[in-house]
Amino acid sequence: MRLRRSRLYVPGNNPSMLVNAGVYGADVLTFDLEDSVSPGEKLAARLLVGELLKEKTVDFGRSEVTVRINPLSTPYGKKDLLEIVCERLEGIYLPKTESEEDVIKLDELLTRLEEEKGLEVGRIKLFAIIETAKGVLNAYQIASASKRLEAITIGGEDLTADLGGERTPDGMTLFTARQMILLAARAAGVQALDTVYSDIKDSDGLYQEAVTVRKMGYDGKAAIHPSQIEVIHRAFTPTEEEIEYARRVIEALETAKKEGSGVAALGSKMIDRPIVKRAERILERAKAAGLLSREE
Amino acid sequence: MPDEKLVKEGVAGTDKKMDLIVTIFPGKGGIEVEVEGKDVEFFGEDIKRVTAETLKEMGIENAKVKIVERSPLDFTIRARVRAAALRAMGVEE
Repeated sequence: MRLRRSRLYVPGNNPSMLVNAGVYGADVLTFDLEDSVSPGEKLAARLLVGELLKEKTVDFGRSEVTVRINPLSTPYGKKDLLEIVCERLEGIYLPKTESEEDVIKLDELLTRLEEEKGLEVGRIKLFAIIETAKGVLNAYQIASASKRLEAITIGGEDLTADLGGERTPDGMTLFTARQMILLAARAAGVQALDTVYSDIKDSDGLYQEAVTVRKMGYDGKAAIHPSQIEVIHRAFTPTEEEIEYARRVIEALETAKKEGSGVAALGSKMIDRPIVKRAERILERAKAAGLLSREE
Repeated sequence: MPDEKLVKEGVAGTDKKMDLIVTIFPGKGGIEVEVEGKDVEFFGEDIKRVTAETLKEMGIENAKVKIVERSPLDFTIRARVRAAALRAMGVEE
């Protein structure tokens, strides 16, 4: 599955932000038609993002190109889909996802549109944003609802409001929800992506939160400002010690395979499947950060 | 879509950089486009051409269009012209 450490939200009605979005090196770009667009500008933003996706001269670098549409329960969601589905679109983020039916409905609409437009069916991926208590409790069903679905993510601000709480620096308000989203994602075999960090001036706070969710097991974190991307990448980059350890694990495994031994060991410690899996993930992140060559 | 569908004034866009504000009125006798802005000397004709092409693609043959530009790319011109025209037809957001 694709690397999605950082995901930058770009307001859908701002031409210069949209045009420049590709220069910051985010793993994912999400052009937003939902919360950053007022009800009176939904049409204008939808057409702007639609025309942008058809404009081949605008370069998005190596970023995955996605759009956050409006929920299908609003008058805007279906119109958003009609306008944005095209060759260049790689993924759709569905906000306020509360049940597997929400995902199935989107999948069906998308399949029909792909057929009508002569696009490869199933190429466009789906991502569910969970931001209500009901959504959290249905997270596993949501994560398992479609073959196209590659990650579930948590919408921290809306979820906090739905819980009746307040966001605190220690993240306690969202602790259980984050664990449940992660459990659901892993059980369904998809990625788990974390929510935004709203204070764009507090890069230390962002770094701490990103490291915390990475250690929990999360695959990435959303950003609302380009300056947050580098901080998130740093938090998701393994330390030298971690990389060295991971290399030794893989080496020991290779040696054991060559020698025909069924058991690999590093020093006195046996290397089992979870240790290998963790080492592979560390090396994958190190490669993404440019710390290792692609061949390693 | 026949141009009789333009029933009122329709506006789209902002005064931010790389954007433009398009105002469309129902018209007679073809498509008339006026452009204001600091790049008019260099790009005025291009903006008029993209505007007229976009309206024709929508089946609109008669309209008066006023544009205030801040160096938009073609995709932005197309998007704002389409939005302004749809609003002039009374299409909902």
